Amino acid sequence: MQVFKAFFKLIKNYKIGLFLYFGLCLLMTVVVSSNYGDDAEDSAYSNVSRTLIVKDNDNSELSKAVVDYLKDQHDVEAHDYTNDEIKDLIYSEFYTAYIEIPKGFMDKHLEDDALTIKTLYDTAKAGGSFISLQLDSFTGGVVRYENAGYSLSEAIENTNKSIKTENFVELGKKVEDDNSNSKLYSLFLFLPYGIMTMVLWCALPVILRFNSKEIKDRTAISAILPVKRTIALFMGSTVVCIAVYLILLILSSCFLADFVFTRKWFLSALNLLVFSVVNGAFLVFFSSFSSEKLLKAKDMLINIITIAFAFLGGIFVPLELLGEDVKNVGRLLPTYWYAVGLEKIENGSALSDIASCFGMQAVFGVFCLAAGLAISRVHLYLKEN
Amino acid sequence: MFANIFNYRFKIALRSKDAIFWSLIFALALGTLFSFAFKSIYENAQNATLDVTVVEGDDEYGMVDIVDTLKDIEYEDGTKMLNIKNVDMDEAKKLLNAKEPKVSGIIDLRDMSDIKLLVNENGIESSILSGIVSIYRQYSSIIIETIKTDPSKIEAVLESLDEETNELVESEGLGGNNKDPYVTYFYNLIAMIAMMASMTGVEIPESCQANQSEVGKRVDCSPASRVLYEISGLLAALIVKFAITIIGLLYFIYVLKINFGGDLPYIFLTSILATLLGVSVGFFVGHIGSLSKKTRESILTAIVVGGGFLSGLMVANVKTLIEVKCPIINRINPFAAISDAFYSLNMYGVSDRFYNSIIYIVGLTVVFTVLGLIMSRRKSYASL
Repeated sequence: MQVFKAFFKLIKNYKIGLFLYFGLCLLMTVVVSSNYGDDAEDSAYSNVSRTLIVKDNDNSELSKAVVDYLKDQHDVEAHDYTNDEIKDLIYSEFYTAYIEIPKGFMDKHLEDDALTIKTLYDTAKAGGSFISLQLDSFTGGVVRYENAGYSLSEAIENTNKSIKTENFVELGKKVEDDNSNSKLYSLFLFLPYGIMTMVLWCALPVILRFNSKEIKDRTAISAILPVKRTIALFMGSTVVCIAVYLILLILSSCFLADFVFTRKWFLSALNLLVFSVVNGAFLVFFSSFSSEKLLKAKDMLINIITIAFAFLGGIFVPLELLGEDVKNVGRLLPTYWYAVGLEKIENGSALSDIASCFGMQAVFGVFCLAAGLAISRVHLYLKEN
Repeated sequence: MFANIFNYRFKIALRSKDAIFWSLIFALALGTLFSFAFKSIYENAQNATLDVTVVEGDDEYGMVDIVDTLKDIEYEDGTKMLNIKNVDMDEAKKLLNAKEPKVSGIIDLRDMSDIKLLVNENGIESSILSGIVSIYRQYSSIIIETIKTDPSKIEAVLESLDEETNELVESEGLGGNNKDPYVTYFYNLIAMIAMMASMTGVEIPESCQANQSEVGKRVDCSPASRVLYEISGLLAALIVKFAITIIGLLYFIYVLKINFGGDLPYIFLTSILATLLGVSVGFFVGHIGSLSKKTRESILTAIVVGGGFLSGLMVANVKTLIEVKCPIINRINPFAAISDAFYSLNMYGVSDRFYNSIIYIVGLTVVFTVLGLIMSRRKSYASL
């Protein structure tokens, strides 16, 4: 009990770091949740939808038809940004393209010196090229129908008919939407980073301090049994892990009113709990390298480990965007299996399928525990001899 | 006196091997990690030639020429859009439904009055194909409608379709050297390495304040001027931190082959000024009140981690999101200023925007250093 109490007294020294990383998690949660609207699920074929800035300076029948068509396909926003701001926003993939319809566009669209719709996008990217292709298809379609003798209204109507995908695109066996992740998925995806940083930040230096030569030797000659000391440290770490888990679970659930107590929420919470326990085992492994140098470099080490785990495991960058080499490395980490598990929960996979991801995380935890204990034993053996 | 103190402070900075080792390891490990994680993302999002099968039928409306033009379509950057295989429907379905699909879709031209597209997933490739097919549906519907309603007009209609329609859409690219948005992670990483120099900057006031360390007591009662001591300490710390930043930058540019997108001398200049800012931030924090070492380090960690997050070190979009919703944060966040200097070099070259960022970085450096020196002069101790 004495060691257990001392553990928490020492943790108080690291409360600033704890609050700092909690603040960071709160910030991440707010930023991610503010970027989400209602979740829409649709299993029929649809073209990819992008976010565009459209400026209609003409406000004519034709320009309105172009804008309506774009609105039907994409998220269209109207903003008055400067040219540089627009470039920045497209560069950082906040918008896919900027489209500006000039004044007098309709009046001159059939003449040789027709005014053109200005589009700004990354011409090397498929997303921007698709928007340009769609615009070409629509405006070209209207002109083709007009040239064939149709009136403008008829031309617009026929063009709209010709581009409606439900009239000609058949979707085969696989239905995947590349942008359908729910708010629950996105919020839970960040939490392992929070758990790792908060737990490592406050519990690791405490354990390293307990394992420092001076304190370890002093405890060794006291009346406290080594086993009781180890159990007390383990219990202390477990309490920290569970406390951090509960804090982050409650925090994220505050932003997930529609999902709380649903199947997805329970499974995601369970996934996070497994990760928290595994993180506790990782703490044991890490703390087995007891050294003063490690204690001094703990800030840097914690940053390297948590950011590396987050990037390689698909926490900060979606798994589908990571290269195969990165994924191969990521498979060795619990964050990867956490992210895969969360993806399966999101896709409504069977429980047995999801449980395999929990299992893979647990394997990492068991490995860490075994390695940690083995290293401690080797240290003890070397010390005794 | 100055040279003497500088010499000692430089030796102290050089001999803190742990700090140098971990700063370097941090930069190199994260840089390598970023390089592995992001190198293929932009490539995968670029225009690619799509493999597609075309299933043809009887050409009862004489539209074979229109179909041939499918092969010639190109993206704006000149990349060929389609790689066409002419097969029958059974073979086409086999190719599409294979475990690793060999084609992105099937364009079914067996019934020219109702051209179809068969795909297996929603996505950018299917969307591009649907855009192309929609154009050919327009051609076929015009021709077939004319044949049905007034066959005498067909010649005139075919002629009008053969005429190239006026291009009503004008495309403009983003410009700049490297349009890969993931390079901003490296901008932020350099900013983080530079700002982590604040951890060294914070040690300088500590080492000459009697209420902060044993060395501080000795320095404080020595005849050495405190300002002189701090300036020489700043210079010594700067040289070591410059070296770490430059090694990191060289590693990214020459080993990881990261294209920062601007002129190299300006990239190095920005990195050096950023390091200067990092050290000065630490120097300033080191002078605030009589906070403990741990509290000062925690404040700096909050600045480094929080500033890094807000400028997109962890999620690249965050900086843009802040620019849209609350741009004032980007204006005052030193991380964002450093990252923006690199970005403007890449996209706009040595422009006003680059100079604005540099002026802000230099301005902040001067303010923090001067404030630190002023606060240092005002400190005296009646007792410890």
